[in-house]
Amino acid sequence: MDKNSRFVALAALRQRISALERPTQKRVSVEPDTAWLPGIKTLDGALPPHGLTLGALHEAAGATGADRPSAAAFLAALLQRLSRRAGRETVLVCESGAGRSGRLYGWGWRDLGGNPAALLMVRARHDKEVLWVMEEGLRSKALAAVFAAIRSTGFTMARRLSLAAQEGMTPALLLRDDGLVPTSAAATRWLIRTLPSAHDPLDIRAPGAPRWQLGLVRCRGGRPARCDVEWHHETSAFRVVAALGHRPAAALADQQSTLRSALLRAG
Amino acid sequence: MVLTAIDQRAEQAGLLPGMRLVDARALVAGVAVGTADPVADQQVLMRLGLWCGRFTPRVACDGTDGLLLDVTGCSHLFGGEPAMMQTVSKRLTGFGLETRLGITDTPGAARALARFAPECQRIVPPGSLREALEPLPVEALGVTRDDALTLHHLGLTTIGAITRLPRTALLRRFPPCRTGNGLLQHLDRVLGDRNEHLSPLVPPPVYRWRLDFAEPVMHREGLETALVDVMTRATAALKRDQRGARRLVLWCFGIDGSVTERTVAASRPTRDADHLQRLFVSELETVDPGFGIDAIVLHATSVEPLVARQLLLDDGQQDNLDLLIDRLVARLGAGAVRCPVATEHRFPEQAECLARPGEASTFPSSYPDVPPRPLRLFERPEPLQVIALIPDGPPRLFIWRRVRFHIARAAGPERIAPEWWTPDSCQATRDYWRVEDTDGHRYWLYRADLHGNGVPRWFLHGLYG
Repeated sequence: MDKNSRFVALAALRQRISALERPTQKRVSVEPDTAWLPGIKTLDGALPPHGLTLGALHEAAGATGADRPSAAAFLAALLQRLSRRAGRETVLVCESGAGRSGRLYGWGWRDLGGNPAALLMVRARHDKEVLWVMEEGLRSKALAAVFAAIRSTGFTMARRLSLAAQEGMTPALLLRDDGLVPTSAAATRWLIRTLPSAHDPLDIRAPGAPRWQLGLVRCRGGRPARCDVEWHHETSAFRVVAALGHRPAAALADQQSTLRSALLRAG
Repeated sequence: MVLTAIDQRAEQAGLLPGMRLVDARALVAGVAVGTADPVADQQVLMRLGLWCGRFTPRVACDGTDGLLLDVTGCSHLFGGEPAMMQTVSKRLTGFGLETRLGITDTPGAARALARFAPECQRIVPPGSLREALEPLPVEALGVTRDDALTLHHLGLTTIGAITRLPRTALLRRFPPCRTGNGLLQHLDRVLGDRNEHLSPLVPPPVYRWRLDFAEPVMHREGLETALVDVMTRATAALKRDQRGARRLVLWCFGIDGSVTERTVAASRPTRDADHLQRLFVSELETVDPGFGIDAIVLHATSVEPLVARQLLLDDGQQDNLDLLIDRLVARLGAGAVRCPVATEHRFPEQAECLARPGEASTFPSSYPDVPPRPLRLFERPEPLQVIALIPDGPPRLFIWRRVRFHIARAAGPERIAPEWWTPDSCQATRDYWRVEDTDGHRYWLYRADLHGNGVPRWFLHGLYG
């Protein structure tokens, strides 16, 4: 065997091994319409340059058991930030059994800014079936996203889901009940804590927009971050909540000038 | 409005087909009428004709209310013509049908006997056809109304009167018609001098494929391979007929006489062998070959037209979605895959129902301005203990699942009253409150029994995010 042919054989082998190791590594090219960002400066800066990866697993958990509905609502809100792709409107929602926290309500989904008509609700009997449904949904390449809630899962299963998401270029949003266990194959992991809301602008006794503390605990290609936000479904946007002592000076000055001009106009 | 058909009792009461409904009502007050559906009648007749395939392979529809059975060479199977006639009569009477039967040499004569003979059942042996037909009215020949009227004007009311006349005289007055509708043409057909064609009903194709094994199959893998083979034949046949299967049944016949049945259903007609095979995989997991399976039968029980389609530019996303739904349904059952559909009801648990995917599902985007609904709803509202400062005021504290929640903010009440237009509505009016506890968690509570004399009852109905 001459040197040249050996070189060629080696190169082919290397190529094959790299293809086996990272089957879709080459496809990470960033397209502008696939950028998926929460739209909050603090968090957008912490995420990789192209935002949340479409074909990846994103996990969320409530800081306590009572924060679980908030974590679900955060994932639903995050989904509204996802740009619509042609022919892929349906969101698959999968839960196991009739949970202790009720079922997903279409009108509530609408009031978070979503389109309930595009929901496909799947009821599984146990966690194993939820994971199977997720994998089928992710690989089908027909869904806008897959949204599921499970009690707990291991690293291997999370890795399988990531690969399926990568293959189908479909985001997988997973709500976990077991908090955030140390290891996971998810691209991003969020810890959600509910915060007391500000009052409704029209009624001082009524609760206003939902307010959460978003903790980006882990982010592949980015860094952890934390932020207090409100969700406004009319604009499909998160709004940063500033603590009372940290109100930006510009906003204050702006407010004062409006007040002054209003006073001047009133004479 | 005109009567198209009547039953025996109506006939006894003096009603006639073709009578106006008002006249019928004037004769018999409270006569029960239904809308005529000629298309459905025809379909029923065709189904009955196909059912009659048990007596003879050649069955044809005769008009809108008759069947012609060519029993040549079949009657001995039922013990001769009289016995066969009894069998047919008994079976059809068993369906609740009233029958008039006639057996003779030609279809036209049999039709004439069945419809116009005075007795309900008549068998005319070969050779005596002319005598048997002579007393029947001329309408029994199947002539046109004009011809029948002319014959009546001429005083020729029975078939016998016509056959006794010289042919040439009849030919002059009733010239032969190109469509075969002339008097003499009808007469020749009835008497067997001219051939009459039947157009027999063709039974719909049966999509059923069978595979026998030389040696019994003991393992699931072997069964899957066999199914691939049958499925290839099935999809080829479906493709030839431009059809797709909606429901497929697989029977596995064990050598010990056991029969295992497995069914898969598709949300759209399909003839994609890979897809159908995948639907069967999870079903085959539950098949126990036992001592071995020596034959399998695949039967497409529900088949719909499926023409070849042009590929769409959207990369087949809708197809992918349908295939996904099929796979989910095959594994989890039809009740597990659902789509929310908005309904026009007031109570939150009724305002949305879960329907099968594929049905038109719409949620009005500009629904009457109601307060936001929770993301999660309890199917059964959970009872609570609630403390409020004043009887009808906002709640201040509630105990749910033995945990105390102090309420910081509350919005409401939103009163939802039962639907007064529903007669059997036994629901009570509810006052809904949107509350937030001191940690920021939000709940949707309601108070029932507003006007009852007991203590107000509180329930938790939903959780906000």
